Amino acid sequence: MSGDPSPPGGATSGDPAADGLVVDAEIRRGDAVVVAAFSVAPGTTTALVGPNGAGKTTLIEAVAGLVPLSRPEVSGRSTSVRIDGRILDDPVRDVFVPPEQRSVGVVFQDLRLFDHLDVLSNVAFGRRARGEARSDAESIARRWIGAVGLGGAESSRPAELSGGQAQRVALARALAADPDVLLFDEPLSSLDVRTRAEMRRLVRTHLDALNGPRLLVTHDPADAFALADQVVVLEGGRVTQTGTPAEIQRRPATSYVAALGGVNLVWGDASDGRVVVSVDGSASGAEQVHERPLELTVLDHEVAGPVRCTIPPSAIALSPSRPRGSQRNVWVATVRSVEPMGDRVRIVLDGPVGLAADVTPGAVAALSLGPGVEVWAAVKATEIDVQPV
Amino acid sequence: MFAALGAAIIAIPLLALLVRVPWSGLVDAATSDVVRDALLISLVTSLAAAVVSIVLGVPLAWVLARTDAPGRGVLRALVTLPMILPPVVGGAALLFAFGRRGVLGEWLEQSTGLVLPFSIWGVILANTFVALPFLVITVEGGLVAAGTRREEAAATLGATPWHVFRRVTLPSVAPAIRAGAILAWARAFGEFGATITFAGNLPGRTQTLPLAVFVSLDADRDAAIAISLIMVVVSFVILLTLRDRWWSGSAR
Repeated sequence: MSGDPSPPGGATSGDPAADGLVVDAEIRRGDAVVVAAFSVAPGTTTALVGPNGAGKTTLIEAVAGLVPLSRPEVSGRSTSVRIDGRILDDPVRDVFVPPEQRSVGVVFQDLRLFDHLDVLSNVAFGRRARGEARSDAESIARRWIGAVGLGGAESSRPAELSGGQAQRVALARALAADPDVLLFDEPLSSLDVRTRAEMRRLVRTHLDALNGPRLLVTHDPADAFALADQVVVLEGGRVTQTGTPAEIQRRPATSYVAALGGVNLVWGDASDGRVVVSVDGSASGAEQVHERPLELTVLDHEVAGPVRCTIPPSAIALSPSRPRGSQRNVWVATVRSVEPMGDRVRIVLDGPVGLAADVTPGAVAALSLGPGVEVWAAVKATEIDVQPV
Repeated sequence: MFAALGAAIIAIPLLALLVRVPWSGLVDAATSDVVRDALLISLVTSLAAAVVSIVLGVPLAWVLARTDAPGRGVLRALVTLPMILPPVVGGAALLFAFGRRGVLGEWLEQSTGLVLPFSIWGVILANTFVALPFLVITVEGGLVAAGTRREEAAATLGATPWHVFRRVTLPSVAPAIRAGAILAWARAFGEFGATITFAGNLPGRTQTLPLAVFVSLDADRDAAIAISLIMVVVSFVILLTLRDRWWSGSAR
């Protein structure tokens, strides 16, 4: 794998001999037990999603070698962590490769930058640690600092950086060490909405440039769907579903997955802060092209060309007449179905674009919502997340 | 009221010392051969004890803070024991271990010719015995406060445990090492009981400032006061330099 920030693209086609990251884990910590099996092919990104306390971070730490696998009791079979066939952890065979010999890069949720070192030394740390000459390590570190958009901040201390900048340093530090596998724990959870969209684009760029397997932990479905090729759902220490984002959305196995998959995904063409929606593929399950497409106003004015937009169902407001507020994204839709989901009701809409909206049971009664009813739908530009595809 | 009384208990003796200072003869008393020798021995032995404490104490603190070796509780109690043990008992214990008839002393003299008791090496050993715990507990506290999160991050970047220790652990506890070393040095600088028991009170060889004060109280009261003044001033300066780094900076 190249340590260059921009290696030649198109290297993502999987080599059958290199089977990427294969995890078959059982980890017991006190009362908590995590039992999970999944694999991540080279050049692909898997999102590990689940509610807080599901064991996502524990699994990441097991792959990194910070937590050893337990001797299997629950799974009743041998367990292991392997990268490209190499066994990193196998408690039955008594194999445990320490973290420094794994070449597994980690971007920690709490970043863990070295406060006593400047940005340059932080990013150069991995290469220096493996004995590379200072000048070589630092010139590669400089390139990575530039690649994450922090050029000029080389001599800053972590304490002087904003949250978004510190996260870029953590990303650059992990990538500059040229890892075989990249683990990314809650990459965007600590950032504000604006920084988030920017950072998501950056993360996507760098994930795509990495030839190895990438594992992303998140509890935000928007991150999972925007960045991942495969989604592994972890609930209460067990994998409840594995599949592509589309599969997860269409056939949710648990109510958590259903809520997770409820994020609306639409595709379209962006220019100058507007997205002309061409295809939707989430709530209705069918992909359709409309003659009179919906045009969405979005925050991001820089993005252009084909994009994928995510819109949370809770962000779509329904009203009987044209809403008078400042919202510019309004359209008339027809209710296709009404499904109670816990304390909310999911309204699936037809119209210029098929979308799901979550409303309260009170709103259903007030609007007399039922199949065939026409309503005005509205969504704020700030609620729409835009990703180039 | 009680606060004032508490302050007075400490302030009154120090003021009494100042009142009795023979300001006119101070320079003569402070530059006498006895005082000069004692000051030199005190500085050399206390600094040596501080250095030995760093070299031995940092690894010891690391074992206590970072490993889950069995018997750590016992080890920690053992290491901190000299802080509450009467120094004279420590001196006697050193004598039984390293004296000419001691458990190790006899072997040490036969194999290397080194005789610790009543030598400057003995003073350094006695000073280290009482000073080491201050460094160990300060650095252990620093290690616990710094946590292992950054060390883990360094390991995932490919750093060996030794590289992690040098490049991540040590810099993160540097303030604690500095504070611990100053405390250890201060403790060694004022050491009396263990030194006089183990190393004796030989002017020009093992007589440190505190010992010189004790001897001079009978023989030359002005010299005793002059030496005491030196020690009060030195101690006070240490406390002032430590104030920001340690007493209020304990969050590091």
